[in-house]
Amino acid sequence: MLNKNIYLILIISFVFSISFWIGFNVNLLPAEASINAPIYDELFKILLIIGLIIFIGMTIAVIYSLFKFRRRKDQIGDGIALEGNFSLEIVWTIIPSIIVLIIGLYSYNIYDRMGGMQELNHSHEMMSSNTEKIWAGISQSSNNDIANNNLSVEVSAMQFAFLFNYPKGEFISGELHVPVNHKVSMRMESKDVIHAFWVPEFRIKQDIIPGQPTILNFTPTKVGKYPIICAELCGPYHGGMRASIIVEEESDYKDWFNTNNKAEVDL
Amino acid sequence: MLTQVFFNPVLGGNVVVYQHLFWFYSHPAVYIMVLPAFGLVSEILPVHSRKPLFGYTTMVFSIMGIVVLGLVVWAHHMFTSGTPPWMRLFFTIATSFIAVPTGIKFFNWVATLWGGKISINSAILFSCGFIINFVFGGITGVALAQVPFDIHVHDTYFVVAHFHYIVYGGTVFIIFSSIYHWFPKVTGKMLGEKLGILHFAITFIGFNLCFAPQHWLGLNGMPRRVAEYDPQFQFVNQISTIGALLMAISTIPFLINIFLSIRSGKNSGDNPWNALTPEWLTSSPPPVENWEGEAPLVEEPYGYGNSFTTKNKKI
Repeated sequence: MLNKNIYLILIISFVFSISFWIGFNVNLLPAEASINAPIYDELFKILLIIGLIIFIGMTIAVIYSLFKFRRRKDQIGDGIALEGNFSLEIVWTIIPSIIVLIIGLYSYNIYDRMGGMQELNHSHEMMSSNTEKIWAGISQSSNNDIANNNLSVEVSAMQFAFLFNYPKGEFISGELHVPVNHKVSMRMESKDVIHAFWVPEFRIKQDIIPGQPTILNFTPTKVGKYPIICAELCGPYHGGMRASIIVEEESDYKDWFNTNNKAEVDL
Repeated sequence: MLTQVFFNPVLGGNVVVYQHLFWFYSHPAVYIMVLPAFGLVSEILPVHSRKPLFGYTTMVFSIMGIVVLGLVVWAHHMFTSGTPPWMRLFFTIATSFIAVPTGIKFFNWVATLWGGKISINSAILFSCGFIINFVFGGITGVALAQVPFDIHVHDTYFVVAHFHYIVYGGTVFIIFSSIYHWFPKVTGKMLGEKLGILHFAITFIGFNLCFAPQHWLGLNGMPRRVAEYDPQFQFVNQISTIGALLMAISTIPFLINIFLSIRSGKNSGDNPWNALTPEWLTSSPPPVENWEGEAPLVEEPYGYGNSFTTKNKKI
């Protein structure tokens, strides 16, 4: 009996250690290039570890049963006539309930930290003076160090392109240029069907819906060029509906802005 | 129909309402695909592991739980559309909780195997393959129910992979398992076990090779429903293609098996598995209207185990 318990403890510690090792050492995600990305990756890591523990544990249980309880050639009888065990049923109802409840509340905390719970129509007052309804989106409260420095961009999506309108410079660009470590507020509108704005390196996505303006706020943290992908099937050339977001140092961004600027004022 | 305005924003309609309409029906519809498979595996496992189904009552109640919860989770398909935050919280919790009754079923199936006298045959291998695949698909399902997790992987290959782990790794594996289990009843001929186990091995390897890499593709930026992809995804897509080819090849031993069985298969007799459920008490194939004369009374359809058939004292 003691022997059996030692094997069980060994197997459980093996499952836990391999799950934690994979969770902390195997990176399945692309580069982290926004404030949201490390918050997302924290949730991903925890879900990966819990998922691996359950998956490896169940797989070992199935394979062990198939091996240990297989019918040998000389055996003709049945297994044990065990029809159930009420306390076991209670255990594997209550433990998973607690786990999913904790995961649900924790992920909500993550969502709040990513800005998903912000009041949308208030955080958007810089964009337009009228009281237009914002239907959905991800908004971020202004961080102290980057406050009052929002870059506002108006995004229009159509089959099969994104256009970025810079209201301060009165020009439209096919690429989204943003300065690093500045909060960007985008107001997005579709001209025809539903599209979606996705930057994998930023871990953000928001549908762009005809008739319902949405917003998306983010703060890039890493200089580079990242793809903007339409993630909602929008027609035959949906797969080719791409644009680029170019995150640059502030001076590079200013140069780019000034060469495109059609407004009278300087940035 | 062409002039209806409900979903047309130009005429004052709301496009997102159409998504609600679609998913309000279509999410319960995916449970229609998988719940019969849950019933089938509960029939197959006790016969081949020679044990009663563990926790029959909780199995039935957990199906009811899935059916009821399945009605109130549809908006988890719409976390990136315009759904208000409070609604997202409700649908996250409701969707996560589907894992509880589903988990009960899987723990009970493993407990059914535990302590049995398992015949290692094609039917039980496909059923156990189903358990492993579906647990994996269920775990990615709980992850997808979390709003912030879903915001990154929504409409990507991650979702494609999750869906196929449920519908192919789940339902299709059980359909194959059921064919190996009930083919003798339907035709009166046994299917070959060697070809059956070969079929299982190629299907299991091909399936995992095809769909496991797609999780990585989705996480790293490949959207779903596209006919073209970025060059950095080429290698992983090729692995996936090899897996898909293996899955196609795996049907060849299966078809040969059925052909050989019908032409020159071993006669199965009425009850090749020594099963206790009523369908095995009639002839194979069953006559018109199933029984010659009156149907027998079956009191213990899952009454496997030593206390019922005390032939062998060894456990």
